[in-house]
Amino acid sequence: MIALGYTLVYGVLRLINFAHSEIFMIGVFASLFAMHAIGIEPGTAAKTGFALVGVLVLVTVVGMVASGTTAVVMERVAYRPLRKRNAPRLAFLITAIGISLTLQEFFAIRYGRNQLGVPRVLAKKTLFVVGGADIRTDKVLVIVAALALMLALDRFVARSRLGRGIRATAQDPETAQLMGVNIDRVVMLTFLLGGLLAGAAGTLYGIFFEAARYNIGFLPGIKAFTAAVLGGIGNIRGALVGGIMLGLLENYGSAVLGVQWKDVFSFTVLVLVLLFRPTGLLGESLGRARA
Amino acid sequence: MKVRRPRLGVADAVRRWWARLPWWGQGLVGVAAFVAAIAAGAGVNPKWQSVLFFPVAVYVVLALGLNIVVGLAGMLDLGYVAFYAVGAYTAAVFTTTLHWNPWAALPMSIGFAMLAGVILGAPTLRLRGDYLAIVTLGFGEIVRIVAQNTNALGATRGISGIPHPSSVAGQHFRFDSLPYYYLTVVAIAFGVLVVVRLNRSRVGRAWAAIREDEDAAELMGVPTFGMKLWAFAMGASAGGLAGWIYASKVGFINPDGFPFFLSVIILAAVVLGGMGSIPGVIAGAFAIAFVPEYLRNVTAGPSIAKFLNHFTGGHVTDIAEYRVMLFGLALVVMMIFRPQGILPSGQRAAELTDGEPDAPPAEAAPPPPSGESGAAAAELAGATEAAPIVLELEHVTMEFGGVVAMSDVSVSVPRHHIFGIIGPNGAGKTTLFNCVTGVFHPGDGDIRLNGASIVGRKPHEITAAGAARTFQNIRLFPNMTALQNVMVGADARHHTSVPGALLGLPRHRREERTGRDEAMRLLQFVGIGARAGHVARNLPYGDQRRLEIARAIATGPSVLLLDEPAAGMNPSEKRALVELIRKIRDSGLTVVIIEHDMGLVMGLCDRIAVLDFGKKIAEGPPTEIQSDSRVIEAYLGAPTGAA
Repeated sequence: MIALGYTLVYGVLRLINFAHSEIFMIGVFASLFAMHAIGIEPGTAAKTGFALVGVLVLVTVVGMVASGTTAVVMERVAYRPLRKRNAPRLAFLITAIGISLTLQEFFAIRYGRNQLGVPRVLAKKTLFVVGGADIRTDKVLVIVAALALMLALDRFVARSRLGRGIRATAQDPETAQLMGVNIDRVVMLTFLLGGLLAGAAGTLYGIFFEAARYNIGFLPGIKAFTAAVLGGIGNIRGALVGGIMLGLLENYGSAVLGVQWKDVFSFTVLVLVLLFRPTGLLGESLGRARA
Repeated sequence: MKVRRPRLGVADAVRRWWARLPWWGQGLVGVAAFVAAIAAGAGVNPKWQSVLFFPVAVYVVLALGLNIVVGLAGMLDLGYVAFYAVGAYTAAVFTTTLHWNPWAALPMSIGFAMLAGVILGAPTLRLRGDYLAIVTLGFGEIVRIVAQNTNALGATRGISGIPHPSSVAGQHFRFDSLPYYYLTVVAIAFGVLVVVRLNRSRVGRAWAAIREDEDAAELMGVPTFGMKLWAFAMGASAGGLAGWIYASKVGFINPDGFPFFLSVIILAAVVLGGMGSIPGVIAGAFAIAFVPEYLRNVTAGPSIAKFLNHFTGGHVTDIAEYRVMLFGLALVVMMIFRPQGILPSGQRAAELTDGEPDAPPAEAAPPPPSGESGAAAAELAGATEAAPIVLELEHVTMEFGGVVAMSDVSVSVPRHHIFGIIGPNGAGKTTLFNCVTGVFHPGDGDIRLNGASIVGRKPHEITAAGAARTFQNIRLFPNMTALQNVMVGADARHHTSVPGALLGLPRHRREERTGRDEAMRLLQFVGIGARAGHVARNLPYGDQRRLEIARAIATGPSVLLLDEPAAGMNPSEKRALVELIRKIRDSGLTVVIIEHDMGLVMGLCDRIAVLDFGKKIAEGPPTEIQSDSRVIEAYLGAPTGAA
């Protein structure tokens, strides 16, 4: 799902937003604070029924809003001046890294460098077992949410007026502008969408792993990027396929080589994909990805 | 958008003064700086001596190395710390496990880091920009994780008991920092020397060309891949050197010493100081290494930390906690307000500040080319092989995912001809050029240049073999001067290797000289000699076209491919162009020209081929073409029924 956000922003701007992982991190934190705010502390009994749904929705919305806002602010403050100046790509990349570090360290200083626990909101029951794998409630939640968001995004980009604007901007910003597309708005909206997705992903991550930390975004960020590349960057459905593929590959790899090599494995996959099929499995381009 | 006025600050004044200094004057300043740096070491309070060595001096070495990659070759490397780690670990393993003398391990450290650079670079340098950044980031992490999980490398514990180097020149390397500082200053001086030398040679020009327009550079005969790999390897070796110094001073290393953020800090040093500028990078590294240490040790430090706590809501007493955050912030702020850095290099500043070209000077008509320089070009067209056919395409077919751009095209271009290629838009004319110059590899058929097949060879090899082109939409190196643009082309014929340029071998010096002279002559030949020192993007349109032609001729081609050279020109400019092309042919070159202006083509060309929908529909002298029914059909539509 982070991959979705990456793909979206990259597809439009041809820009890898290194700070995306921090937007994700903010999503985790925001949902954590939302839980605290409504009185869910570690040890509180897991919710059920409507209360559960209510809590999930609320927390997710807070996470999404926080991340979305951050993304938009980031675009306005840091990226827009560069875009206006027609700055080279190197400048964007350096800016992204700068933002990423700043946000990360800000959270590190404010909330400490240690891991914070995220309370359990969802009772983790095994629903059923398929081929020796436990299918737990939280896993189902993550998968369902990811699918739903992907479908929604795919529809949105393919069908709505703003989606058309996004696709037009991805293909040729200048022409799009001449044809009456408000580029600034489209870019901002893209950041917002990417941020919202990252926020939702962050919330789910918090619920699933029950932990939050200042550098939590780094590894998922890189892996999401790998997934986006694997599926074909700028391609919405590719991001999902890439994410699933990477997850499978990674678990298989660590089963063969040992868990400590897991991260090395995903980097290696990234390098290999970039070398042999830089357009990814499903091909590049947001513009061409039609429903 | 308003055009930025160049601000003449102190830095600019210094740069001008520097540019006017003779080479020995510059050398003298360099030596003075070196002596001052050495003297400063002894003069400094012993408490600061350790800071001066690490992080300051080590960071300077690292920043200089990274600057080669980021500042000169324009590639973003986010895993630079990996090479530092490789150097340090190499030193540690060779001296502890294998009991080598530390000095003997030094070349090993550099060598292994370089090797790591090549191993990483060889497969990944085909990637550009963002991808490269993320791959290097991944590489940095891989190196760290490998070190963490390999028992031979001490896993998470690291390696301890690394011996200090033996004494040299009265300096005893023990725990005292000063001798290491001297050693590092020597390394810095060496590094600066290397970078300065390279930057003034074809290597530096090639790097600049790659930064500006990689594809055009490749087509002008720059072996882009090799040059990028060199940059990577050299940057890596500097990292290895720094790693060796660090390991032998500290005597103990572990994976935590090489985290990702160290890569970013070094990057911040390069960006802050000014990418591509040596004094800038040194200043940047100094600032980033020294300022936090300084603040930590003065009373102001904790109060600044407290002040920052107001914003972050943290409870930090040590200002060092804020280090990374402030550097991150500095990167963002610098990119917005002063992307060229504190002490920028002149050319990089131009690249980074404005994407919009300045308004060209009003005066446009170029002075008519003087007659005598024709002889110079004749001399330049070195290739006078006997083969009567210069360029031959045989049944060439090119498809793009099912779309046939060219099918079964056979063309023979006789020597000393001006050969026209015409056809409606989308007929495959530029595709033909791209196939010849190696941008595309045709799916079928053969292309021979001076009798030798060139299918499947890289663009820069084809350029060296004698086919040079211009572009439909001008692709000069916009921030380089006209002269430098042409010199990049001239370098295609040169053989100076990177080590050769480094050592200033006689061949290098000879080639530099002749390259410059030839470039000057060519600029005069195309009629823009007076503009040699102008930056390419400030030239008027017609002159840019001429400059492109001069750059292409400089590569010493036997056939010159011009892609719509007259596009956008007014009638008088076109007349001058026709003359120029004739003159080029008369000086011994063969010219292939794509053009839509029928009057121009018919008057100029000796022979014409007509393409339509990827097929050759006619070929012959202009008069024949004008009356060919298929050609008329292609341009005006089929005569249907009564028409």
